[in-house]
Amino acid sequence: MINLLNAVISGAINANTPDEDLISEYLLTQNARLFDVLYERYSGKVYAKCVTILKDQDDAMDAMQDIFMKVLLSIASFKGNAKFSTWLYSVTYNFCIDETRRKKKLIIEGDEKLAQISETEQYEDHIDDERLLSVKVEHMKIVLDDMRADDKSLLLMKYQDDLSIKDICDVVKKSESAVKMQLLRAKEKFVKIHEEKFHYDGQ
Amino acid sequence: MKKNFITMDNRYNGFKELERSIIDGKGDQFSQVKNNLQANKGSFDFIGNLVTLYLPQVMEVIGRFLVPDSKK
Repeated sequence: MINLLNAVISGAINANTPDEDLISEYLLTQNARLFDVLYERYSGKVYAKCVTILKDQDDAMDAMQDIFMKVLLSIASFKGNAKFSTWLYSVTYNFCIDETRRKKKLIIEGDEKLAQISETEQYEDHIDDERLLSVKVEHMKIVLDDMRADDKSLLLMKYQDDLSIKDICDVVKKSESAVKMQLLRAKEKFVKIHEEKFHYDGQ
Repeated sequence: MKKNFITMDNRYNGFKELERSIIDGKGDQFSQVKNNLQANKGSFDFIGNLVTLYLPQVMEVIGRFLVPDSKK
C-alpha cells in the first residue's frame, strides 16, 4: 500500500492502477492526492451525464461538485461489491433524477405500472442498437433534451457507460424485466423523436 | 448518410461522442471544482475533529440530564 502512495507522490501511477486499490489506500492514509486521481478519471464523465440530464451547464457543474462531495464523505461505505465506476454512476444518475424531480416536480408517469410488470411479460426488442448509435452528435443532444430524465439515463447507462442489464438494475433498483421494458420504451421514444425532428428515413 | 457514419472496423457511437464533446475544453472548471472539494472536505474534517474531541464531554453532560437523580 505504501508503494502505491509513493507511486502517486512520485507521479508513477498509471492508467492501469485499479480504482479499488486507490480507494483502499485513500481510506488508510486519507491522502487527498489519491482521491484526486479518481477525480481526474471521472470528473468529465460525471459532468457530461449531469449536463445531458439537467440540460444546464452551471447546474451540471454544481451537481458534479455535490456528487463528488457526497462520494468523498461516503467513500468508506463503498464495499467493493460493484466496480467503483458503477457505484459512482449510480450516485450520479440518482442525484440528477432527484434534482430534475425536485425542480420540475416531475411525476414519473407509469413508474408504478413498470414496477408491476410481470417477470414473464413478453416483449420484443425490435430496434437495432446501431439505429441509436449512428445518430450524429448534434442530433443526439437535441433528441436527448426532449426525453425524460429517467429514460435518457437508461440510454446513457447502456450505450455510454456500457453497463450490463444487471448493473442497471442495481443502479435504478428495479427488476430485470422492468429495466428491459423501460429500456425498450426509451429506445422507441428516442427513435420517434429523432424521426420527427430530423425526418430520418433509415437511408 | 448512415453508411458514411458507421464503419465495421471502427464503430461510431453517438453517445460516447456526445460525452466527449461535452467534456472538451472544461479542464479549468474541473480544476476549480477540485479546489472547492478540497476546501469543503477540510471544513468537514475540522468539524468532525471537533465532534470527536468533545463528544465524550458532551455525552457526559447530556447523561447527567437524562439519568434520574435517584439512580446517580
